[in-house]
Amino acid sequence: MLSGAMGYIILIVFAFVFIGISVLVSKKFPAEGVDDFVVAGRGIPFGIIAASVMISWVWTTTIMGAAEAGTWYGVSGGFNYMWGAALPFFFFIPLVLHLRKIMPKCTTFTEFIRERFGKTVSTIFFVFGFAVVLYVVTEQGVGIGIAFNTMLHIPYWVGAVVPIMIVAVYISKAGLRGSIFNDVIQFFIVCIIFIICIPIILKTIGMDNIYNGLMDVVNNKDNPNYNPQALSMTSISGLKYGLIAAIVAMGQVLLDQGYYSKAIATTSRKDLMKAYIIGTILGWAPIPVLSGNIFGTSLISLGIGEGHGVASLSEAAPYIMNMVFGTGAGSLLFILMVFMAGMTTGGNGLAGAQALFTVDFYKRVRPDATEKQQLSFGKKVTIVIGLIVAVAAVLLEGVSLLKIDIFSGILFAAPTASFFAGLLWKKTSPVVAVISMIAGLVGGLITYFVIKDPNDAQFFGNLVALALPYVVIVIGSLFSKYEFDFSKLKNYEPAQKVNIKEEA
Amino acid sequence: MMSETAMTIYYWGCYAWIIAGFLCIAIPAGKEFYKIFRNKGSEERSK
Repeated sequence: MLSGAMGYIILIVFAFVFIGISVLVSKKFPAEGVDDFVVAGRGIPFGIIAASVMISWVWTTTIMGAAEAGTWYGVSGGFNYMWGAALPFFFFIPLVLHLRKIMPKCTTFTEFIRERFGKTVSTIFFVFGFAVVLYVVTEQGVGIGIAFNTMLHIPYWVGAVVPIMIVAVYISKAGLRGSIFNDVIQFFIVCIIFIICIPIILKTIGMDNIYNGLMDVVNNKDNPNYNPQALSMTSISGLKYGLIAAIVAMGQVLLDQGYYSKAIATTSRKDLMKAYIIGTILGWAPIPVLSGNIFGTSLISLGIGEGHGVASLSEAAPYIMNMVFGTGAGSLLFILMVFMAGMTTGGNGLAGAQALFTVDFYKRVRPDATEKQQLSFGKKVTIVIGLIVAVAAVLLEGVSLLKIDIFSGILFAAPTASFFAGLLWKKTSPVVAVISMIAGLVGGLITYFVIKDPNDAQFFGNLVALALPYVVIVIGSLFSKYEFDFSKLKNYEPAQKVNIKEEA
Repeated sequence: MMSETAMTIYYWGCYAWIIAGFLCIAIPAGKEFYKIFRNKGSEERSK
C-alpha cells in the first residue's frame, strides 16, 4: 500500500521534472516576443499539436466521470460520454479554421470579438473566457486533491494546491510552447499506462465474468445496480446523458482560449484540421469509452454498487485499478493518470488565460506597453491566476461539483450562438449578440428552477441556454439593418509583431 | 441486448482503437519533437 510519503515524493518528482522541462524549453527557445510566447510563434507541427490537444482534453473526469457513466448506463455509458464531449470539437474545428482564414493575425478569440462586435461585447466574452479557465483549472485541482487525499492520505489542500502551482510555474516560465512540450511527454505516459493496463484488467476479471455480471444487472431486480438497459447501446437515459455532456462541453471548448492558442500555434490550417480531428477521434475518443467499459461495467459486473463495496460510484476506476494491480502499483498508476490528466488540462487553461491577459487585457490597461512589458506582465499574471485557482480549489473541499457543472453548462452555453453568428453572419449586431446571451442565461436558469425533476431540469436548463440565443439571433438579425464588413478583419494588425505564412 | 461475442468485439475493438490512435499521433509527434530539438542543437552549435 502506498504511504503519504510516496505522495509527497510523487509531487516533488513531478515538480522537478515539469518545471525542469519548462526551464529547458525557455532556455532553448527564449521567447522572441509576445506572439512567440503565447502561440509558440505559430510554428508547431501536426503531430505535436495532435498529442497536446488529445491529452489536454483528457480531464480527470474523462477517466473518472466516464467510468461512473459506465456504472450508470452499462455498455453505452462510456460511448455516450465520448460522443457528447467530442461533439463540440466538430463545431470548434470549422469555426477556428474560418477564423484563421478571415482574420489571419488573430491570437485570442476576444480580439476577434472586439473587432467584430466592439469593446463592450469583447469585455463580456473576456469575463466568460476567464470564468471558463477558473472553472476548468479549479476542477482539475479538486480532482487531483481528492485522488491524493483518498489514495495517498496526504492533506487535500496539498494535493490540490501543489499541482496547480507546478502548472502555473511552468506555464509562466515557458508559455504555450512549454505547455505543449510537457503535454507531449504526458501524452506518451498516459497512453502507455492505458495500453498496458487494459488487457491485464480484462484478462484478470475475464470477459465471461463481465458479461455474466452484466446479465445479472439486467435481469436481477435485487442487484444493487439493477438496470434493464445495461447491455444496450441505445439506452435512452444514456443518450440524454450524452446530449447534456455535449451542451456542457460546448462552452468549455468554444470559450477556452487554450484551444484557440493551440489552433493558432499550428503551422498551417491543413495541419490544424488534421491535428484536431486525429487528436479527438483517434487519440482522445477511446479513452472515455474504455474507461466506461473497463472500469465502469467491470465494477457493476462484480455486484459492487453504492453502499455495496464503494461509498460512491465515482470510485469505480480506482477500485478496479487497486483490485487488479494491488493497492501499491494500482494506486500509483491511477494517481499518475489522474495527475497528468489534471496537469495537462490545467496547463491548457492557464496558457489560454495567459494569452487573454497578455494580448488583450494588458493592452487595454496600458495601450503604450512594449512587448517586453507585456511578456513580463503575462508571466506574473499566470502565477496570480494559479494562486486564485489554488485558493478556490481549497475552498471547494467537500463541496459537490455536480451543481457547479450544471450551472457551468447554462452559463457557458449562452454566448456560443453569438460567437458563431459573429463569424458567419454579417447582419448580427452587437445589441442582438448581448440580448441573445442574456436570453440564454435567464431562460436556462428559469427552466432549471421551474422543472421539478432534477434530471429534466438539468437537461432542459442546459438545452434552453444553448438553443434560445440562436432563436434570438435569427429573429434579431433578420429584422436588423446592421451589416458588418468582414474584409476589415483580413487587414487587422495587432499591437504585437506577428509573422504569418500566406495560406491558400 | 448485446451478446457476449458482440461485447467482446466491442471491448477489444476499443482497445485496438486506442492503439491505432496512439500510433497515429505518437510516431509523427516523436519525429517532430526530435527534429525540433535536433535543429535547435545544430543552430546553437553553428553560432
